[in-house]
Parts: sequence; C-alpha cells; structure tokens
Amino acid sequence: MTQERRGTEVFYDLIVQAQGYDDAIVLGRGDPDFDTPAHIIAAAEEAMEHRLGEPSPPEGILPLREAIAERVERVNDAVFDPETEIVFTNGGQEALFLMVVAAIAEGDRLLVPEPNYNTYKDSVAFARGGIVGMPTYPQEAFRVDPERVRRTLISGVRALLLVSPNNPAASVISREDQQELIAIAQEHDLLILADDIYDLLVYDDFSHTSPAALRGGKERTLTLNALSKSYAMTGWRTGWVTGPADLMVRVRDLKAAISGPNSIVSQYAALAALTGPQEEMHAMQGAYQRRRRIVLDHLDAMGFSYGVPQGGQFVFVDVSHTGMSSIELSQRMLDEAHVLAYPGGAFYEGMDDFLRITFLQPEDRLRDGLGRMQRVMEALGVGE
Amino acid sequence: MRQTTKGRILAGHGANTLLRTPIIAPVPAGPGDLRCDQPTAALPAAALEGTIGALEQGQTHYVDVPGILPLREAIAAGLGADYRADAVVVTASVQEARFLTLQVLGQDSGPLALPSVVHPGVRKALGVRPLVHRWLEVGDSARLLPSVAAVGAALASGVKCIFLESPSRLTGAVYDAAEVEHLSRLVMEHSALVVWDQGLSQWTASGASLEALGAGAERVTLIGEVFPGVGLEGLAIGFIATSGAYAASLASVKQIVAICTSTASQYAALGVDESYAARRDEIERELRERRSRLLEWLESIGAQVLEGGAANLVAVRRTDAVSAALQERGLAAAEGTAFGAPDVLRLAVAGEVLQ
Repeated sequence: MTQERRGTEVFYDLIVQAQGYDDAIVLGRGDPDFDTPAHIIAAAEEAMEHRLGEPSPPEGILPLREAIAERVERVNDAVFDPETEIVFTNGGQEALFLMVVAAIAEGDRLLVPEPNYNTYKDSVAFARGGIVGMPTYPQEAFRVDPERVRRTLISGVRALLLVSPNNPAASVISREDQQELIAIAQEHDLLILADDIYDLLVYDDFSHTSPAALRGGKERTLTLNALSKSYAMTGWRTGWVTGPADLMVRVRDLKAAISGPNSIVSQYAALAALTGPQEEMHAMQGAYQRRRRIVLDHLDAMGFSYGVPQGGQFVFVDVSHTGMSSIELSQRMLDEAHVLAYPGGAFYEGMDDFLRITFLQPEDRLRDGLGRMQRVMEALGVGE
Repeated sequence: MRQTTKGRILAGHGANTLLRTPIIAPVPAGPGDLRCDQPTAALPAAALEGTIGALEQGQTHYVDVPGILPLREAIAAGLGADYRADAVVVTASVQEARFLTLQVLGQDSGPLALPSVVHPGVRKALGVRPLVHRWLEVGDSARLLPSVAAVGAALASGVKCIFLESPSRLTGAVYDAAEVEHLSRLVMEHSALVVWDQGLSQWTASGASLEALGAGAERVTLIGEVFPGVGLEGLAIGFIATSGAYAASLASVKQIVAICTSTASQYAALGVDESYAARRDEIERELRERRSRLLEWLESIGAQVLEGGAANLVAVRRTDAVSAALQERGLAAAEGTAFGAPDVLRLAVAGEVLQ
C-alpha cells in the first residue's frame, strides 16, 4: 500500500469517490444494506417520547447491561456480571478504542495477526503503543497458528489481539487454537483483546468460540461486540465491552472520559434488539448465507481463488493473477465498473494481492456488481 | 516480585487522578438533583416526528464521520460567518468534543494550558493519555476564570494551546467583550490556538461576547452541546467548530473513536433547529425567573453567591449553613471539588424545586 496514507484513509477516499456515481454498487464498507427492524425503531420512538429525561451511568442503563449479559452467556457461553463487567459503547468502534486504550500503555506492544481491521493500528498509535504484526497465510486459511504466535512474541508485547471471525480474511479461530492461545497468554503474562463482532455470522461447520468462555480466559480478556452487523444498526452506535471487573473499572472510567453515557434512545433501541423478536435478525443471517454462495459462484466463474469465508460478511479474494496491486485494481473497478471493493493492501501491506468483497447488497445488485467486475476482468484479459 | 501486566495497568489507573475525576451526569436523577450542566425540557413534537420519519426511511446506517451536512450547516449558522459547515464535527456528547479537542489539538499544537477551575470532564479527558500541560490559576477572582493577564503570561512562556470556558461551567461567569477582544489579540500575537467551551453561552445575556472573537476559526475552536436545553440532553450530542486546518485531523480521530454519531441524535438535533431560537428565549426567561427565586432563598440562608451571569446555574461558597439547608430540602449540588474549587457548590436552576 502507499505508505503516505493510512489504510482507513484509503477506504474513505474510495467511499467518497463511489458517492460520486449514481449507479455505484458498494461491496466495500461493512454496513449491512438492510434497514434496522421496525420494532427497534418503535422502541426508539417510545424512548424519545417518554425516556429522554432518564439518567444513565457512563456504562449504560442496568436493564440493557442485563440483556447483554444474557446474550453473551447464551451466544458465547461466557458469564459476566451486568453490574461490574459490562460497559455499553458508541458502537463496536468505541468498544475497540476503549479496549486498546485500557490495555496498551505508552511503549507497550500489541501482537496483531495480519491482516486485520485497520483501526486497531490507529488506536494503538493513539495510545503511543506499538504493533507486532504476525502474518497469516491464505494457504493455511488465514489460521492464527499458536506456534507462530509463540515464535513472534518479543519483548514489550503485553497483549494479543484475537479477531474471530477475522475481518477481512473471514477466518474463524477454532476452540482448540483459542485454548492454546490462552495458554500462551498465561505463560507470557499477556492480556487478550477479543473482537467477537461477527460471532453470529459463522458458516458451514465452523463455530465461534469466545476466549472469555474458556478456561483461564476471562480474567485476562477484554471482549468487544456490537449490534451493528447482526441487527443492521450501524447508525445507532450500539456496542459493548465485557471483561473482568478489575479491568472494567478502567474501561468504565475511560468511557466516561471519552464520551460519557450513550444516547438513551440508542440504549433502548439496543435493548429492544436484544430482547425483542429475533426473526428479522435470523432472516438477515439467512440472506448472508445465500449471498455468500452467489459471490463465491461468481468468483469461481471469474477464475479467482479465495479463502472460503468461514464467517463474517465478506470474502477475501486473491487477485495476484491480474498483475495489479489491490489498490490499483480497486481503483480500476471503481473507475470502470462503478463497483467499490476494498483493497487488501489497505488492511495490511502483505495483503496487496487481495480484495475484500462484502455480501452487503441485495442479491440482484450483488449479481450486477459481480457481473460488472467480470467485464473489467475480461477487459484486462484475465477473466475466464 | 515482578508486577503482572494487569497489575501494572491497574496500578497506573489507580494513580491517574485526572481520569478518576468524578463525573457530572447530563440529565438529573430526580427533581432534587441540581448537579447537571444544562437545563432540559420535552423534545419538540416536530423533532420527534422528523427523527422517526428519518429512521423509518432508512437513516439507520453509518453517516459521514463529521456528521450529516444539514446539521453541520445549522450548527455553523449559529456561530457566525467565520465558522463553516465543512469544518464542523458533530460529536457523541460535549464530552467527546472535549476529549477530541484536548487530545488532538492539545497534542498537535501543545504545550497546553487549562484553567485550574474547569469542568470535571476536562480533567477526565486529559487523563486518557498524558499530555504536556499546565494549569492557569484563577486567583481569588469571584468569577473563577483565569485572568487575561494569566493567559498572556502562559502564551509568553511558550504555551501554544489554551482551553477556556466562557461561560465558566462552574460559576456561569463570562469574559466580557473587551476581554474577548484582548484574548483574540493575544492568541494571534503568539500564533496560538484556543479551544473555547461556550456550551453555556445560550443562557447568558452577554453570550454575544463571542462576536468579539477577532481571531476567528483559524485560532479559536468552539465546542459545546448542540441546541442545549430543549430536550436533546439524553441524546448525547455535541459539536466542534474549527477551521479547515484542524477539521480533518479531528474527524480522523473521531473515526477511530466511534466512526460517527448516532443518526437518531443527529436528526433530532436537526429537528429542533428551526424552533430553537424562540424556544431558547422562552426557556431563558423561565430560568431567570427561577434563578431569581433561588437567589432570594440563598440570600435568606446567608449564602455567598459567586459572580456569574448564566441563567441556568448559581455557584455559592460552601458553608455548613448552605450544606445543611440543601440537605434539609433534599437538594444535591455539583461539588466544586471536581472542578478544582473545593469551597464552591454549583446549583443548576432546574425545576420548581423551591416551591
């Protein structure tokens, strides 16, 4: 990638360019095309009418934290005390920032499997810490190999980032590997920062395991999650951090210092999402399954290879046979086909042979976008 | 014995007195809670309807990091010609505005100086990441604002970024137009930057003193709550108005911190824009009447009231008599200790608590 620009800036530049095309098909940003289910909007309306004067502590209202505790126990098999071990945040992004700033002090290093969502690096830079990158490889299905983690550890590493399903590689860390990674964290006195945001979006025979649910995991793990992806609530800013009570005191103080309590309306919307009807959320999950198949079929037809997505809402596609860098190809797709796919090189310099393509468009638009991409590939002389 | 990673983090946290400064909640816990910064009221029906309409039409997705353009235009329009919509950043509360401006501008433009008496949220934001800073003494001024001379001395000593509150978040006192003009000259002379929390200016007759800000957006970054007092307090929405030179770096860190501000909050704020001026005037009149009654009562109990013109609050010297009288009536005041003034209590002019 171009070193002059942060990866996030590359993405935002592409988004702005795509906004200039009326017929653009966006297969880049992780923003579900579905609108938020109606019963959640109804809960927001009720909150605006009757609850705007209701106080909230910085960590969020207790009924919401209780609902999060129930959800985390049911989905992740991890138990947290809603009084002391949960902080509600402005989306998964604020949760991510809080986790990093809580765990990384000046000069500390975070071990980060690559590729990953860029703003981990940005958050670590804010905290004046450092990143120790550890590559994962397509031929290993982007597995976070515990032995490679062990070999990568150097002085100053204080924490280990575990994102499962991974963004952008869509790989899932197995239960066995998670347990082994916890053992390494114990052995080397590391904290674990776990990103579970795609935990409900896991495919085929893969299953999600949260490190906080495993033996020895909870006391050293901060975990983020959010409703943005699974409930189509990106605009509401609804996320959370869970962790052991001692570390969560720090997360809570940081939350109070960075933004204070979330909007009470977003809190009641989140409560409705967690406790209300789940049919629409399940329908969205089903749609992502179908769309994933459509994308993979088109990629097969175009002759691309890719890591079969084990989870998430995207596929990480090898474009090395085009002879172009991912940023060049992404720009060309946007210029010629008005299709936005994110360049892997903006996630990680070592992934400049990859594009990330999301499933976040209706099926007809998805087919249209992939068809346009195929025509660009044919024009390049590399399509099948 | 070697300290563990967690033990080291927790020890550092325990020693971070700035980060552990007590907070002030944005909405009261009950009718006797007089600790909040801003008054609040029922959200206008049009704002409610507009917000729900926007959500139902699909405004439930990420929006631009600095905020939706119509809202940024509305915010800029209320700040004078020097502040443009493309250099406004909508934030998830005034606290996020404090955090971003202190941590981004204080870092990039520092060294930083702040009033020794200042909103607790400022101390907390400063505690997130160490910044080179010094405190501006407020002396024995009844307003508890740093003097213009103190600001000038700090700038002469090499300070490049000054955080100020006018009105003071503790006393409601303001710099008058002549002082504002003088401050403007000083920051221009020293090529410095001011972050100016003017969130309480809606409740002062002299809020117009901002018009004397000759230094303009290039030198003075404004922060505050968006359209305070009309029901947005629970929706946690603030703003930063700056120049193009700083807007990009502030938005960049906003993206890292939270991507964007809740669309429901932004559309609600947009919905109050048109009716705000009239509603604000009504509320200010009401607050002044209530404040007069509060002052009468405070006088009757022998309280020493500090200088301050904001209609929404009164600061008094802490005495046993005042504390006892508040306790007797079941009233909770904001503790000056968290502001850096332990001998002061702040009472919000909230509801009809004295009837």
